[in-house]
Amino acid sequence: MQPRPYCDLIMKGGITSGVAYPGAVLKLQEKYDFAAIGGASAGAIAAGMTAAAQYAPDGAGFTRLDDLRTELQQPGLLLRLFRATKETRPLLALLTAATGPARRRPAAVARVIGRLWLPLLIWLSAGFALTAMLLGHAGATWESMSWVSAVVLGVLLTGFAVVSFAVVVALRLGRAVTAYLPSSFYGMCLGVTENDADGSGPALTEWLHEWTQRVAGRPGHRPLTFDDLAAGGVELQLITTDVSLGRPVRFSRTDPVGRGYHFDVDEFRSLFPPPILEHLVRTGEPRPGDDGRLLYPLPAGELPIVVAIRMSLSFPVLLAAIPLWTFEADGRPVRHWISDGGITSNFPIHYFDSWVPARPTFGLNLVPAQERHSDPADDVTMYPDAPPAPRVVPITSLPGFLRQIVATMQNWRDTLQAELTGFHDRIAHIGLDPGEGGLNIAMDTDTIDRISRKGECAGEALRDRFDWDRHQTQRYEVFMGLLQDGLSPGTEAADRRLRTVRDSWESGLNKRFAALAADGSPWHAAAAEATDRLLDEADEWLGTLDGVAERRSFRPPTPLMPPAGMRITPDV
Amino acid sequence: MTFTQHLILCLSMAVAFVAAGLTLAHMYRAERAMQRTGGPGLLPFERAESAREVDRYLRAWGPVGRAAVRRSLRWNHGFLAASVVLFVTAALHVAGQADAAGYRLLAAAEVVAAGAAVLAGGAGVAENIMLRRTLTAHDELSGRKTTEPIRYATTTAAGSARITRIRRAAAWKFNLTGGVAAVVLTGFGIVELSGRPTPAGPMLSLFAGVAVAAATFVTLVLRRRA
Repeated sequence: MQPRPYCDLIMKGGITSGVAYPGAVLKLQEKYDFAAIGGASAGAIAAGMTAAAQYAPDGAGFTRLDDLRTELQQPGLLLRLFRATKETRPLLALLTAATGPARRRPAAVARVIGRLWLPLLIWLSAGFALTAMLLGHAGATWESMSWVSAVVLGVLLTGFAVVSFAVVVALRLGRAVTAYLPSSFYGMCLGVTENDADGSGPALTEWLHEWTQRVAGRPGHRPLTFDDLAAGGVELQLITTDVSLGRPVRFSRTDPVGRGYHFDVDEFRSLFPPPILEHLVRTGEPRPGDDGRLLYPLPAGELPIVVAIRMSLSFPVLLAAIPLWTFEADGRPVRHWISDGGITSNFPIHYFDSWVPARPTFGLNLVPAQERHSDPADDVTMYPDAPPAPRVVPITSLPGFLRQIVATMQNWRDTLQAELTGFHDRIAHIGLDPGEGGLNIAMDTDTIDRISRKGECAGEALRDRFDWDRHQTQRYEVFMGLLQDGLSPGTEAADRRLRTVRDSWESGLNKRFAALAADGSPWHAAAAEATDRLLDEADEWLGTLDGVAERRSFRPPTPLMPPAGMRITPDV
Repeated sequence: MTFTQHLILCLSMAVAFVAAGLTLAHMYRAERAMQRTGGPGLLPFERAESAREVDRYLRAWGPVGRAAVRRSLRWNHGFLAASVVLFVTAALHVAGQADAAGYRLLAAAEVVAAGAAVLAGGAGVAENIMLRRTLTAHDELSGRKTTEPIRYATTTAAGSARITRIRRAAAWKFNLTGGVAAVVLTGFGIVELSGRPTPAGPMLSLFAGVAVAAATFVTLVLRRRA
């Protein structure tokens, strides 16, 4: 029997759009085993669950992932998972109403008014008292009041009520945003249940923990960690954003390297369920922080993947950010805020990439649908031959302009990366209609089912339409072409960029290395010898090709479009 | 009601307004101190629905914030006293006016409102006492956590029963106060159109009290910021 091929998989962030992913994963696994999985935000949930399913020692992980797909179609599940803190409930109610179906908005507004009846009554009474006092001192009495005066008084009071309502709502929302959001880690939802008595079942992080363990086939008190996955031959990489440092952070078995992150056990109590916390506390010795805080080191390999998933999935304002701590050189603790991975890279398609890959790294992208189709399969597109034509977003208003600025800042790097040759042919794009996914946490079962079926179609497309031989050839051509550009972009000896390396080496670098070698550094001695040999051999090799354009070119027959280049970039 | 009776009641209200403004300013300063620690103000603490929620607030405040909560609760007693005096005198004033105008039912409602204001104050005091006990219980737990940190992962400073009692007391306080305010203000409007409006002199003294209270509040808050 032939061994099953391996693949890697990257999934884009998109909050509730992530319900598309289990279906896609299940279709892909019919042909492939997953070696490495990565993602951002909602894509991180799917990546974690896929890794757990691949890891499952009993081989039934994907059967249980299918159970998860079914679970996601339960009516009202997303609303139960995204549970706001008491003080930010009005904000979430308004958000749900604004992003949900229009028919539900009147009911949502009525609920908000219902909650504000007492302050409204007081304001209205105050307005009446003031008006009556002025009228009374002007000589008006109930007996002297005509029906016209009564109507005028009524209109005045109605106007006063409307203004009062606007003021009360503005004050309440203002307080929720300025005072209550910061106290719930800058998010409406903590991700854990604060009130067991409300009987709504687990909140998001608790639910994630339960399902990760269930899919992996492990008991709840032994959280699945990056080390466990590595032992099962599965690699998981998730991206998040350290907004305090202003940069992305990768969580994997070995990352984040050298950051020295710690967590405050008291803060984590509000964000993670007890089994996770108990595991984390067992992995390291605490260091005292200020104000009596106990700061434990955040492990890498022993980190439960749910913690990394939750850090990647912290959609700003909707879900609480995660506080972590580092120590300054003087020992002073400093708090970092970890927020959504999608802030810096919502589609980290660069993960697991290599010069000439040995297996495909698929990408599942989420995009706005160009038009509404009745068949979900029509909303899934692949571009095996050429990148998708850049989509021009019409901008007709200031909010639209600002939205597009944010989208550009957030996505330009991932978008361009995904269009490159060797990338675009391995990505399936799932088109989502308005009302599907995103912030629509009040989606009905039909909508969720439709998104899930789109995911299945995307999985089928990658499974059936991706051409590995062609992809591998393209990747070879791209790599060798770019390598040639780096070494010698032209056809003559004078074009050799390698010369600049030799010039630098011979103008002093080699002497410094020799001196260090003489001081007893065997590494520098070996490096100097290897450099001399490499430069000589490269020169000799390029010399045999000088002037013979057709023999020197590794470039693909047509220029790369969009253009690409090789350079040193941060590995994150 | 005689002019002197009007004046006495309005002056009492004016004094109560000033006292309320003074105490409210100090509570506001404490509130700012609580929020500077990254925690919420007092209101979410009063209306918390679960022990875990209370624990989150107490931990977010830290020792500095919790000290500010204690300060706020101390000033809150003064504010409660001032507001009870204010509402009772206002309700009695309107009751007197209503009685004089022949609105017996309204007069009776205002007397009930005065009683409700006292009950609201009592609920507020009871709530403050329970909140202080919660703070004390948390401090005792915090003192032990350095040796046994994880044992308290699911242990909370406040039992669920106490949280329920605090929330109920707060609900009584806020609903009664809101109801009393609505009854007094509406009653005031009704009697002002009865042909016997409150004389201008006492009204002016009341407005002067409101102005002084506002000035006191703003001065204290600004001084803090400077």
